[in-house]
Amino acid sequence: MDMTGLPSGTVYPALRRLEQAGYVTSKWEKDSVAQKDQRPARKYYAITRPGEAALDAAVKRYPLMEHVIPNLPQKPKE
Amino acid sequence: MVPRSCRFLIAAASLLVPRTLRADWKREWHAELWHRAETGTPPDELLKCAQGAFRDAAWFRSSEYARSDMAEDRFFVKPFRLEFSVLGVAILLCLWAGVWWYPALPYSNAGRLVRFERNVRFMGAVDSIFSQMLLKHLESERVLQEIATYRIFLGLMPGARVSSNFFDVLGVQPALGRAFRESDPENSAVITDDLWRRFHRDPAIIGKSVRLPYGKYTIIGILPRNFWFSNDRLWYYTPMPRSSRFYSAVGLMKPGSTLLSTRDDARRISSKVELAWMAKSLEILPIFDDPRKQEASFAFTIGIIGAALGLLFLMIRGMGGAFYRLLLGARLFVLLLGLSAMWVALVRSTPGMRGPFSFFQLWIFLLVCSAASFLIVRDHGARCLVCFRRLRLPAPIGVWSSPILDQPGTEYVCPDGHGMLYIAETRNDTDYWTGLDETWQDLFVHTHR
Repeated sequence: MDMTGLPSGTVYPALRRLEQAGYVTSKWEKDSVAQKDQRPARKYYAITRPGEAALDAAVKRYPLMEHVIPNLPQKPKE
Repeated sequence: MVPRSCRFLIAAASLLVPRTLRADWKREWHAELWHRAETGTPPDELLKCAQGAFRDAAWFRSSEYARSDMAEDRFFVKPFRLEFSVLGVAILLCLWAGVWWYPALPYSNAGRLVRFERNVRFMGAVDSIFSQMLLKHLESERVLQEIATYRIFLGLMPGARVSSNFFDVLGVQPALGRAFRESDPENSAVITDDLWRRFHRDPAIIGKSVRLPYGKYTIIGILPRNFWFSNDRLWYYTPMPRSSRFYSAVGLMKPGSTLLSTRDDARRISSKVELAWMAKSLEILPIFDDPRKQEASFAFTIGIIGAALGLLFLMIRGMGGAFYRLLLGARLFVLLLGLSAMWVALVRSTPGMRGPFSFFQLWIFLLVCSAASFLIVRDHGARCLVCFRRLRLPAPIGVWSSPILDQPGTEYVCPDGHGMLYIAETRNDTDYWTGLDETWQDLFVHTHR
């Protein structure tokens, strides 16, 4: 939301669609980590390999996106 | 700390999210807002962010989500949930509209008012038209304290022609002006409050001549707002033409008389001027029947007809076993009973609407019932014949380019592996259900229960 300037009502449904399509995966961080920092646990979204392929195709099609999203998130380590 | 208003918005939006995903969804949004609040986001920005939760939650109600494997059953989740909701709302509406109680009649003499009918003894038919001669005899023999006559005329603006003592017998005084007198000409009229509204409730209309269907009339009185007579909506009343010889009648019983004694007296007098069978068929009844019996039978009849049509539909299609068909019949019965009860409550609570059987209103009501029944039949047809869960995963079968050899259609699968339903896309083919035995069960993995 900070990067794109889009409202939460746009970003979250987009994330749901991307997850439904298999382009991103989501994972909750461990509760122990969150409790240690005394905060609620975060949910992380990471791009998948099909997601990267779809992104490459989209970037080729929409060059403007490269300027909006310079650094893509990495896959969570297992 | 997340502001209370944001937490309220998240809680409200979460109602749109399917129950199995709700806890996870709320946790995610709370975390989002908490971290934003910690990074110093101003409260109005937080509120704007929280408002986006509704769009996110609404996505779970979209067809896009429903088509995915993530989707659980949508609103038509289990049979009867919608139908019992409609029935529950109908019961509450009926309580609010006072349907369970006998409606108060707007006549001060209501307890002593009676109507005349002749039982034709053929399929429940009744005749309410009597001759002037008979009514004069009944009046002269003092069978009743007083008798008033009327004839209803239908058309663009229904009304009634009444005797000069009509309103006196009913015990109704006009809110403005006066009731009829013997000397009033035939072109005078007493109008209802509904018609008066069309003249902008101008009190100066008394004594004015206005154009109504069937001619020009001089207004001499305006009836009270709560006044009604007959299930047909009557707009105005005019004096009975002197040439009339046959009309309907209402009577005022003598104080202390009962319906039975009045009826026996009336039959005795009638036998002196009429044939014996006509005298025996004369009935003296309360001025209006208890509408609750009529309304209840109306609601049950609509329900039973809908259920029967649903059963017939499935029998013609050859779909499902006895329990599957009976379940559809029961669903349609409960839904249509609820809709009928809602309709009765609406009619009772709306001034100017009398009786659920007015022609135009009945057509609107039947359209609504047809649409609701169509949705239920369609939902029922999309359910497994064994477990009644919604069928999923539509797969196109056949090709349109060779409809003769390979009929095009769509195949749906029961998520529990009970069978597959084939829906034909052309009229040349028929729908059929293929049951699957236990050997297929391993192929069906439950992801959401």
